[in-house]
Formats: sequence, structure tokens, C-alpha cells
Amino acid sequence: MTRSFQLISLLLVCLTFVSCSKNTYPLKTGPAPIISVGNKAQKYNMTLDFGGKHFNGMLIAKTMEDGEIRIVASTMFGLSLFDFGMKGENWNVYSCIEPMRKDRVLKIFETDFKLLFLSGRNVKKIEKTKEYTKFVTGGGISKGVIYATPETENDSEKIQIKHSWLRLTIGLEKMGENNVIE
Amino acid sequence: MKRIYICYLLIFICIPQINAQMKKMKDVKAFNERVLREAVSVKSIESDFTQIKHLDLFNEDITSKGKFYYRHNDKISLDYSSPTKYLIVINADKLKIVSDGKKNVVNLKSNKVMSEMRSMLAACMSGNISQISGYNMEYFEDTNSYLIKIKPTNKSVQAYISGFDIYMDKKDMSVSKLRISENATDYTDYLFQNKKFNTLTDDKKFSVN
Repeated sequence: MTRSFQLISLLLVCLTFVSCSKNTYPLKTGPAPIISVGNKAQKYNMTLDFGGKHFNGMLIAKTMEDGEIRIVASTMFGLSLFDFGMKGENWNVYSCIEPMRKDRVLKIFETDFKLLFLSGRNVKKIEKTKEYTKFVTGGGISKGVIYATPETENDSEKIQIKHSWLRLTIGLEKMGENNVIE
Repeated sequence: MKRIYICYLLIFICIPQINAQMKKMKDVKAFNERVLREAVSVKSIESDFTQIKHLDLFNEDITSKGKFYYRHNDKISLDYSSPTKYLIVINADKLKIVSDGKKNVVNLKSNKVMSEMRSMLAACMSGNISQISGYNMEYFEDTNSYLIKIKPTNKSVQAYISGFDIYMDKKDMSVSKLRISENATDYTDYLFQNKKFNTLTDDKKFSVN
């Protein structure tokens, strides 16, 4: 009993330190967003690994006439998963299926998608290699690592977002004109 | 007031257009009897399918293609070949999804909505609509096709799907097109081509292991 109490106390102290520690974001993503979306719908093959389960679908993004970036995802079977919108810092959840409609999950989507689709976002760490650029965001349980492989002549744009603590990985791979992965 | 006028205008524009193509079915009883007869004789279906998801927001159609397999009475397989390899198998209470070489098997028995969706899909894609109960159904026809409009009454299902439109070929009572609508503007069409009946002799295509 005493041992359990000590363990819980230690855990609470650790959590307090994590939550009170100052989140420093010394770096910013570039002046151009990681994914630039114009007024033509841009399609991505999307994979979602969550809690040991693997899902596959499609993500479509487009800048609307009013400047809002809309991000819509659906399963391969065609059913909609979510419809989000962002205009600057404003974030809108137009629809989201029930299992994902949780504040914490929605907040992660907001942070991740703002980092991908907006420019000059605060990040903790940027690491550039020949193959990819790695961005590290957040801390503790919401820590995210984003790997962005830029579009080149022979390679498609690939993004991987990893939240190891949450066992959540989102993969995006750009599709061509005829819905074919390039 | 202006909105009411617009609604009236839309109703009067839309209704004659639906009627011009499809009329209310004259003999629903005879249709249902034929459905039952065909359900007994059709043991399996294999066909090509084209899936077109319409996103009204982007005015965009997303097309996928693959092979469709059905075996009496609750086995379905959708084997996508483009834009990416993807496999969906429904076999009794099990749903298997294979993507990127990773397999995911879900037991639908514990989820009432998913279980109901499974029955609906089997019925809608095979044409054995005699299995459907607890839905609002409307029947239409023209010279070549039947159209059955199905609306869910269960609020849990309504959260995902607003209606199913099944287009059946009068020649062989097979489903030529299925439209699953999520709301008034977004829907997914499944078009079935090159249909072959009673060619599948085993359950290899429907393995969920």
C-alpha cells in the first residue's frame, strides 16, 4: 500500500514537472508550408496506424475561394472520416467520425495539419538529411516527429507523422492526376 | 419567405426530372417475388467494379477500381487494384482489411452498427434485398432498370449514411449500380461490370484468416 502510494506520488511529481516545464520552440518551419495547397484539389494516399491497427484511405486538400484550406479524408471504401478547415490560426471541425471525435485526438490533428499546411510554425528541432527533413514538435505524450520527403523529379512527396507515445502514425503519399501514386 | 419559394422551385424542378427517368414501380409484390427467386438461383457473383466518390465541396470525383466477389449469402470481397492495392473481405461476422501487406481482422458481432452495415452491403451488392428489414424502402422503374431507394431509420446508421440507391438490371436482376449517400451532396457510386454468375465454387476469396 505504502509502495503504491510512493509510486503514485512519484508519477504525479513527474507529471507536474512535465506540464510545468517551459515548452521551448526555438525553431520555425520555412516560409513555405511543408505541403503547399493551391485551388486545385491535391490528393494523398493516407495510411493510419493507431493502437496496433492499420487503416488506409485518401486525404484531399484544397484552398477554397475564401482562403480557407479544407482537408477531407475518406476510407478506401468511400466513407468520410473527417472534414477539417483552417484559415490562419482559425481551425474548424466540420465533421469527424465518432471514434476520432475526441478533444485530444482533434487537437493532435490540428497541430499536425497546421504544421503541414501553414508556414513558419514553431518546432523544437529540425534535422535535414539527403532523403528527408525531420521536424520535432510538442513534448511528453503529445510529442510528434514529422518526416517530410520533398517532391523531386523521380520521387513523390511523402510525409510521415509519428506520435510514439500515442502509438499513432499517419502516412501521406502524393497522388498523381489519375489518382495514381507517383 | 424567399427560402420557401426557392424550396418550392427546387421541388417542382426536381420531381418531374426524377419522374422522367424513373416511375413508381407498378407491381412491387411481383418484383419482390422475383428477387426471392433470383436470390435462390444466384450462388455467387464475380465482376469488375468502379468506385466513384463524389465530393461536392471540391466538385471532385475520386475513382477506384477492382474486382468484386460475392458468395451466398453473406460473403463479400472488394479487391482494389487502383489507385492502390487494398482488400476488404466480409465473411459472416468477420471483416478483414489488407493494405500495404498489413492485415486487420475485426469481429463485427460486438458492434451493432457495423453488423447492420455488413448485412446491408451484402444485400445491396448482391441484389438480395429480401434480407432488408427495418428500413424505409421506395421502388421505381424504367424500361431497363429497377431503382430501390432505401433510407435507414436507425439514428446510429443515419450518422454515417443517409441512403442507399440500388439500380438493378431488369434482364437478370443483378445490381448494376449502388449509390451510398452520406448526406444530400456527398455520395459514392459503385458500378458493377462484366458480371459472371455461379462461377465461384469455394470460399478462397473470402478467407478472413
